Formats: sequence, C-alpha cells, structure tokens
Amino acid sequence: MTRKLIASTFAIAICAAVSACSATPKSEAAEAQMLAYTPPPVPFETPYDAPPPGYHAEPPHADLDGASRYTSHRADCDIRVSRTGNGVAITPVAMAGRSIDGEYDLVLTKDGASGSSDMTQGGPFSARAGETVKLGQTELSLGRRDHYRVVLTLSDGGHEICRREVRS
Amino acid sequence: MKRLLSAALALAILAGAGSAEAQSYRNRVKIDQHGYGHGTALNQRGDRNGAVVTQEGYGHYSKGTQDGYNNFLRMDQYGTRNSVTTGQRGENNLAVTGQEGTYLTADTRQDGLNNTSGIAQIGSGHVASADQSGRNNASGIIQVGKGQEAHIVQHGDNNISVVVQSGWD
Repeated sequence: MTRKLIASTFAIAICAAVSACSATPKSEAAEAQMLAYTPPPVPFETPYDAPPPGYHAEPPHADLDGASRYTSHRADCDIRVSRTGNGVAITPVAMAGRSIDGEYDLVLTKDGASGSSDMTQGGPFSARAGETVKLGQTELSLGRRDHYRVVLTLSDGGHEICRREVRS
Repeated sequence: MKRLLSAALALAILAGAGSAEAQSYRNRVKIDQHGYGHGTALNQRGDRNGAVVTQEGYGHYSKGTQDGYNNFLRMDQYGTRNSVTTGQRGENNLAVTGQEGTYLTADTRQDGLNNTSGIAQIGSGHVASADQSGRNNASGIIQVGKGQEAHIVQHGDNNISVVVQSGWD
C-alpha cells in the first residue's frame, strides 16, 4: 500500500515537473537561437562489413522519369560462405539501407556422392537503417565431388528487393 | 550405442548452448552426410528454429519440417537404409531421433507448445512413431533388437509416455 502510494506520488511529481518545464516561458533570444541551430554533419560510415572480394554493387536504379534512386536507401543482401572442418558454413545476410520489415527465403541444394540435400529456410525479419542482420546459418558437409547451390531472396511487402546466388 | 549416447549428450549440450547461439542467428541448420546415397530434405519457416541432421553409412533418408518459433530437431542415422521424418509446428518443441542399424523407420510429429520427443532405435526393422499435440507433452521410445514396433499418440496437455522394447519381433 505504502509502495503504491510512493510510486504514484513519484509519477505525479515527474508529470508535474515535465509540464512545468514545457510551460516555462522562453526568452525571445533563446527561441531565435534554437531556430538558427543547424545540426553538425554526420560522418558517413559503412554500416556493415566490407563486401566480399568480387562483389560489385549494382548501379543506382533509374526511375521512369530518369532520376536516380539514392543507393544508400536500398536494401542489399549477401550469402557468406566460410570453410568448416568438413564442408562449408553458409550465412545469409540482409544489409538494410533503410528500415525493412520483410521476409527472406533461402534455398539450398547439394548433390554428390554422399547424397543429396534440399533445404528451404525462411521467415520474417526486420532491420533498421544501416543494420546488418544474419538471417540464419547452415552448415553443410561436402565430399570431394559434392556441389551446392544457394539462392537467397529478400522481399518486402511481397516485392522482391534483393536476390543472390552462390554455387560451387 | 556409443554414438547414440554421444548424440544424446550432444543434444543436451546444444540445448544448453542454444540460447547463446540464437542471439546471433535465427534459423539454424547443420547437415552432415558421410558415406553415400543419402537424402535429406529440410524446411524451416518462422524464427529461431534449429535442425541437425547426421547421416553416416549408406542410403539413409531424412525429412524435417519446422514452422514456428524456437523449435529444435535432431535426426542422427548410422548404418544402412534408415528413414526418419520429423515435423514440428508451434513453439519450443524438441524432437530427437537416433537410429543405428538397418531398415529402421521413425516418425515424429509435434504440434503445440513445449512438447518433447525422443526416439532411439538400434537393430533392424524397427518402426516407431510419436504424434503429440497440445502443451508440455513428453514421449520416449527405445527399441533394441529386431522388428519392434511402437506408436505413441498424445493429444492434450502434460502427457507422458515411455516405451522400451528389446528382443526379436
């Protein structure tokens, strides 16, 4: 009972302080200073890891009216492949130039003497602007004559926004 | 036998480590195939699901489907021409199957929340199935020898079933 009373009192005190602050009249000079304020430029930094060797970014898309779309606002994706003790580890990655609430699909097929593997993986993902999201991970054993193919697709609102394919 | 025990141990370790890995990756799959002539099909939909498939020997087949959140399945097969199918839908379900021998067949279906299933078969010609739907169900089947058959069906909440069989037919 006492705790509730203290908590509610504390909340009321905060509310009162906030409303008091917002109600405080500002001087004309202070208002002019606020209006004249311009934020300092934010240095651009690559928001995700450097692309793998051999990767070339697509040129900016031209809209119908001929204007270029700002490339840093689009989403990108990648399939990262690293060697493991007896095969490869495959990590699909989404790199968001803008906030995305989308879906991903990863299709993997492997064929060879050891047999065949078919794997599909997918689901929703969300990423904020500038964020890199690892969508999943697949480890695959590979024999000497085994081959694999991986296709990653990202979609947002039913529209495909990125597609990558890797094969051995 | 040792392999199955190590698989069970690995499962326990994975289950413990799963929470840490899940923060880095969403759906995870590991497929290990050694020998020749195996087939694997896996389908994962949702988030934070995990699947591990190990096949050694000749001519095994495994199929796993997961739809939901934080489900985990493991299918280990050693020997010749074994087959395992696991389907999970819902959340926090766990299914583990380990088989060593020839012509062993196992099928697990889980639908719901917090269901756990384990099937271990050693020998030849065994058939096992577990079908669970609801919440907090647990089932276990262990078959050793030749030609055993066990089927578990549990619907509802908080059911537990255990079957242990050994011998011939």
